[in-house]
This record gives sequence, structure tokens and C-alpha cells, in this order.
Amino acid sequence: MLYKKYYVAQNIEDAVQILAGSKDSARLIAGGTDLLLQLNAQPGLVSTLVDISSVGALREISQQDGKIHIGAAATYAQIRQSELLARKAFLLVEASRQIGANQIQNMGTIGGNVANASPAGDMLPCLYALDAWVNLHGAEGSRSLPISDFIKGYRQIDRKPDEIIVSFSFNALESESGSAFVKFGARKAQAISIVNAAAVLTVQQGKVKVARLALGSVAPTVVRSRSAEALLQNQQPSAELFQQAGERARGDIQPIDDIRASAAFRRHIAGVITSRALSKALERI
Amino acid sequence: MDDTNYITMELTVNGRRVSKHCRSGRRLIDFLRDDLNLMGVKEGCGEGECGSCTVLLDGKAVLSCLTPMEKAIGHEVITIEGIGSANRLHPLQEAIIEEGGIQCGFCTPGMIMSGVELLARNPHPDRAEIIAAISGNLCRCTGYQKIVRSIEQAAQKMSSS
Repeated sequence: MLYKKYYVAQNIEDAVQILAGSKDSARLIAGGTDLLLQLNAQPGLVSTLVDISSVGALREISQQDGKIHIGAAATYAQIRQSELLARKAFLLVEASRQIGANQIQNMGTIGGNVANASPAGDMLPCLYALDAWVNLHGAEGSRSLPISDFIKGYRQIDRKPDEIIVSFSFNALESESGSAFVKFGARKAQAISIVNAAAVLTVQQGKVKVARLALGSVAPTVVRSRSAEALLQNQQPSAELFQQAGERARGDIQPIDDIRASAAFRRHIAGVITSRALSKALERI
Repeated sequence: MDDTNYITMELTVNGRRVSKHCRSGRRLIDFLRDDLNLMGVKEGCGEGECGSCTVLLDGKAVLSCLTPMEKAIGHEVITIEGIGSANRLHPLQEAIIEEGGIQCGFCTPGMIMSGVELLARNPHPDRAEIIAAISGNLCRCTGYQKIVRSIEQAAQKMSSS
């Protein structure tokens, strides 16, 4: 037996109540693509699972005024197929196409990817580059915080045991902005990122007005490359400038050697995919 | 210590209503194979990498090795046993035979389920879309070319019938 009890929550309050009542013995499950791996390896790790994947309010992708809201239980397939996101945050569409393969995309959710807080999670650099906020709801009410505060460290998040990630919100990218996500993995499908990069670029009157650049799998958490962003500010975009930004990004990260790649290789690739992400983002403006 | 819990699994499997009192806390693949004897659902890696255990849950291809059985309660599951019969094969099953898109056969049920899902949401897929749709299904025999051709041929059969 992998777990003892399985609750299918009907709404957010329902799920919060079960969590509050069972304290640390309950775990939330959405797609289960990460959690089932853990349970298969360690049956009984968790006694109670609270399934939030059928709560409609947690699956909505919408725009209100200038803000996009993505429900935490929206699947990668939903994101991949969202026309709204294709226009207003294309990097999320691009990343969702490259996570696992079709089956994982049908099952896995953006909230699960964030809650798992792997340094290699493909949604994370996108949300950092979008300056996204995480909206939580728990027994004591609702709160919101920036993604970079929510992710506290390697597989660590700022979530109380009775809290649920409800949604992510960020400013829609408008006509002078472009975005891109570039993944470097061992193969095109079913690969965990060796390094990934997300870029958001706004260009006005031929000059970079906003540049947000985030890299994953290069440190315990996603890294915003502040020195590359500073370099790009108010400059005229060019291949040469983007290459220099890649150089800067190499200096902002702390990659490690592991089974997937060496630190030196990761550092090299980080620079390459940084400039590629910037070029793609520019093309899409 | 016997702390086994039991539940009643009520769902639709291959078009038939199922109500089965059984042990809870297992994977969907275990329920389908052990309780319903649907042996066409294959377990390859058990880690969500190989796609052999692919079934359709409410029409979407999912990995039954990473799905808790309770997720299927009240929903519709289709396995390889539910898409055609020996006398009346699904066009993709026919195409797999005609194109030789099968050797040892272990990946075939999962491969077909991914193909069936693709053809339902996109009746005229191009080669790149076919390759993307089966990229979560590993085959160690055929080298994929014949499987891709089988799906192309099935798309033609289905649009002309």
C-alpha cells in the first residue's frame, strides 16, 4: 500500500480543512508525476493524499486587467494549448511543450512543478523571468509573495502545512515585449534540464527597456542574472550584446558537478542558452 | 500489522461500468492488471519514463504507473483491450500490422494508446507532430520509423473511411 487514505477535494476550502485537520501526515497531490515516484520508492511515506486536481477554480487560466492568473492545478497540456498564454507569456507555452512528453504534460501541473522546487524545474525560470507572484490560501486566510521569496532553497518552499498554492499571477507581456525559454537536456523529450534559461525582453525606440533573465539547474535555486540584466539595460539589442550577456550570466551562477553534467559544462552552456533565449525573445517582439 | 484499507472502485473501463470492492492505496496499473485482468497494460520502467503503461483517462493519455487508482473513480479509462477486438481491429492496430510497426510487442499497447489520443485530437498530424506525440513511448526494437509510418497510415485510413 502506497498510502492509506485518498481524498478528492471538491473545492479549495475543503482541501484546506483536510490539511488543517491532519497536519503533517497529509500531502497534496495534483498530477502526481513527482509524488508517485517518491511513494513508489518509499511506500507509506505519506499516509493521506489530498487530490486537488479536480477543483475547477485551481485550473483556470485567465486575464484580468493587465494581469494573467494561472491556477496551480493547470496542467502543462492546458498551458501548451492556451491561446492567451501564447500571446501574453509565450515562454510558458514553450517550456510546457518540453516537459517530459505528452503523458506527463497531460498529468503534471505548474503548481506541482513549483511545489517540488527542484532546481531543474522548467516552470521556475519562466515564473522568475515573469516576476510572478505566488498566491496561497490556508486556514488563516490568503497571502501572496514573489516567486523568488516563495522558493527558499533546494527543494524548500515557504508554505505552511495547511496552505495550498492557488495560483500564479504576473503582468501580461504586451506588444513591445517578447519572451523565450530554452532548455538544454540530453534529448528532446523525457529529459531533465541540464541547464535551462528564460528571458523576457521589452524594447522601446530601439533600446532594451526591460530585461529579465533567469537560469535553472545552475544553483540550489533559480538564479536571476542581475549583471546580464544590467548590461542589457538601455542598450540597442544585437547578437554581440546578447553574447556579452551570456558571458555575464556565467559569472552569476554556481553550478555543480552531478550525474547529468559537470559544473564547467553547465557554465559554458548557460552562456550559450542565455544568448539564444535573448535572441528568440527579441524575434518575438 | 494489517492496516489494509478497502474501497469500492466505481468507474467506466473500456465502455463498461465497473464496481469493484478492492484494496486501496495502489497504482492504477495494479488495479487494471490485478483486479480487472487487463494484461495489455504493460509495466516497463515503473518510473514514468517508458510509456508502456499508457492508458486513456477521460480521453487523455496518462501513465498508469504514476496514477493513484482513486484518481479514476467516477471517470473513464480506456486500455488497449478497449480500442478494438480480434475481429474488428482499430485502424491503428491494422496499420501497425501492415507497416510492421511491432517486434517484441511490449511497447505496442502504450504506443497505440498515444497514437489513438493523437488521432482523436489531431486527425491529420504531420510527421513532427507524430514524433512529438510518441516521444514519451520508448521502443527498443523497431527504431520508430515503422511506428511513425503506422500512425501516418492510420490517419489516412480514418479520414477516408
